[in-house]
Amino acid sequence: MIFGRKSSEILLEARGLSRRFGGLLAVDNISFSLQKGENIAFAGANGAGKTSLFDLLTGFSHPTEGEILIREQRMPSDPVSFVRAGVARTFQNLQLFPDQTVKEQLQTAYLACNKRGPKTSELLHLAGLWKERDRSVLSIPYGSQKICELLRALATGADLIFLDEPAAGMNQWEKEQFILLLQKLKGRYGVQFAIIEHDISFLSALCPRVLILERGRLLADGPPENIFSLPKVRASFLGKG
Amino acid sequence: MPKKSSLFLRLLLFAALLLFALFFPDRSLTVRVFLFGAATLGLSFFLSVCREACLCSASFLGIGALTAALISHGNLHPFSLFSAFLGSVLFSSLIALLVGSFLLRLEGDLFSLGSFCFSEALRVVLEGLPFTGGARGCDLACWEPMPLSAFLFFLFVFLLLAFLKGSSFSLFASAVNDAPLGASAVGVSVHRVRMKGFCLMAAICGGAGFFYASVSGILLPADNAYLRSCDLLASAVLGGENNLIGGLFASLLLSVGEVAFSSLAGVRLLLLAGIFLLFSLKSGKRGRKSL
Repeated sequence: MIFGRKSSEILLEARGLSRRFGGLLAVDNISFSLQKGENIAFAGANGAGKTSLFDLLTGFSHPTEGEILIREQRMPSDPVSFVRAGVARTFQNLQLFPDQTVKEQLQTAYLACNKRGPKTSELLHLAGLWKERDRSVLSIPYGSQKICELLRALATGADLIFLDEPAAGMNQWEKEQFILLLQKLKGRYGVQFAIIEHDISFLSALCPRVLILERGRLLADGPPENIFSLPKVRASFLGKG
Repeated sequence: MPKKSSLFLRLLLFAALLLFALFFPDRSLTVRVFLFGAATLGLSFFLSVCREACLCSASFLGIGALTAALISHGNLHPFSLFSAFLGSVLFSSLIALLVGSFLLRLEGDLFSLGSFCFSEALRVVLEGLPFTGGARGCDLACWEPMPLSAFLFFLFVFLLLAFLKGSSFSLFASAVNDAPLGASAVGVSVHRVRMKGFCLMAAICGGAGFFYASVSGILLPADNAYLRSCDLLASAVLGGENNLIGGLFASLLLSVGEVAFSSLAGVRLLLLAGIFLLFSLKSGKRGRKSL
C-alpha cells in the first residue's frame, strides 16, 4: 500500500523499498509519496531505520527491493543523479570540507551543479554567515557549521533537502533560529525539507506530516498533532502504552 | 593572483631555466631535468587530487616513449615528431582511462599495490612483445635531445597546473579528498574527479616520455618500471603536494643526483625510503594516507 496522496504534483515516490544488511532488514517494504511543497518528518526510536531510509532516498545506498521515483522518473542508486534531479542532503555527522572556507563550501556545490542554485553571497547574507565567509569552516561554531551544510545543500539548486537530525547538539535558542531560517528558505526559494529529528516540537513546527518508523517498517503516517496520540506510536516511539 | 614579488621571482626562475635550456652544455641532462620535472608536477597534481601513492607513473612515461618511437619510426620530419608527441600524450591517457576504471576503485595501500602490479605487468608484457625489442629494448628513437622544446613542455605543464589550481576543479578535488560523502552529496562525482586527475597525470607523463625517448638511446621496459615511479614519487613528496616550484627543485635535485651519485644506485631504494619516512613524518598530521 502506498501511504500519502497520489497526484500529478508528486515530487518523490518510494515504492516497496527494502534494504537488507546481511541478516538485518533495516528497511522493510516502505512505500510513500511526497507532494511538491510539502515538508515531511521521519521519526522513530534509535535503530528504526530512519537513516537507512534516508540513504536510500538520496542514492547513497541501493535498495535490495523497490524503486524510487522523482517527478515520475526512476532513479539509479547514485547520489550525484539525485542531486542533479534536485534532491540534496545533510548528514548526522557533518560532512564539511575541512580545507575550505565557508564560502568555498557553497561555491563547490554551486559550481558542481552548473550554477543552478542560488548565489552563494545571497545565501550567506540570508543566513547571517557573510562575515564568516573567509574563515575556515572548522573555526566557526557548531551551529553555524550545521547552517553551512544546509546552505551548501541549497546551493546545489535542490528542491528537496533531506536533513538528518539537524537540531542535534543545538540549544533551544539555536533550534528556534534554525526553524526560522528553514521557514525563510522555504518561503524564498520554495525548497521543501524531509527531516529526521527526535525533538517532536522541532519537527512539529516545520512538518505537517510525520512518518513513524519501527524496526524498518512504516508504522504510521499523518499530521503530528494526531499521530503522537496514537497508542501504537506512543508505545513504539515514546515508550508509553 | 600571486603577489607582485612572488610573480617577479617566478619570472626570474623561468628566465634562468630558459638560459639553462639554451646554454647548458649537457643537452641530455637538461632534457632529463625538464621531463622529470614535468612528470613530477603531474604526479604531484595527482597526489593533491587523490592523496594516493601511485607506483605506475613511470609506466606512462614508458608508454609515451615507446609510442613516440614507434610512431616516428626514426623519421625526423617535424610533423612526424609532432605526431609522435601527440600520440604519446593521447595513448598514455587512453591506457590511463582503461586502467584507472579498475585501479581507482581501490584506495590507500591497495591502490599503491594495484598500481605496482600494473607497472610490473606492463613491463612483463612489453618484454614479451616482438616490436618493443623485448627485454633488450627498442632503439627506434634516434632524434636529438631538444632542450628548448622540453623547457616549453615543462612551462606548458606548469601553467596548466597553475590554472587548474585556481579553477573549480581544485575545489572539487579538495572536496573529494576531505569528505567524499559530502562531495557526492553536492553533486561532485568522486570517481570522475579521481579519474580526471589520473588521466591528466598519465598524459603529462606520456608527453614527458616523448622527450625521454630522445635521451635514452635504447628503450628498455625495465627502465620505466616501479623504481622510476619511486623516484618520481620521491620528487613529488620532496617538492610538496601540488607545490609547482617545489616539484621542479625536487626533480632537479634527483635528476642531477642520479648522475652525480650513480655509484649509489644500489642503495637508491634505501635512500628513497628515508626520504619518504622523513617527509611523511613531517606532514603526518594531514597524513598522506598511503605514505
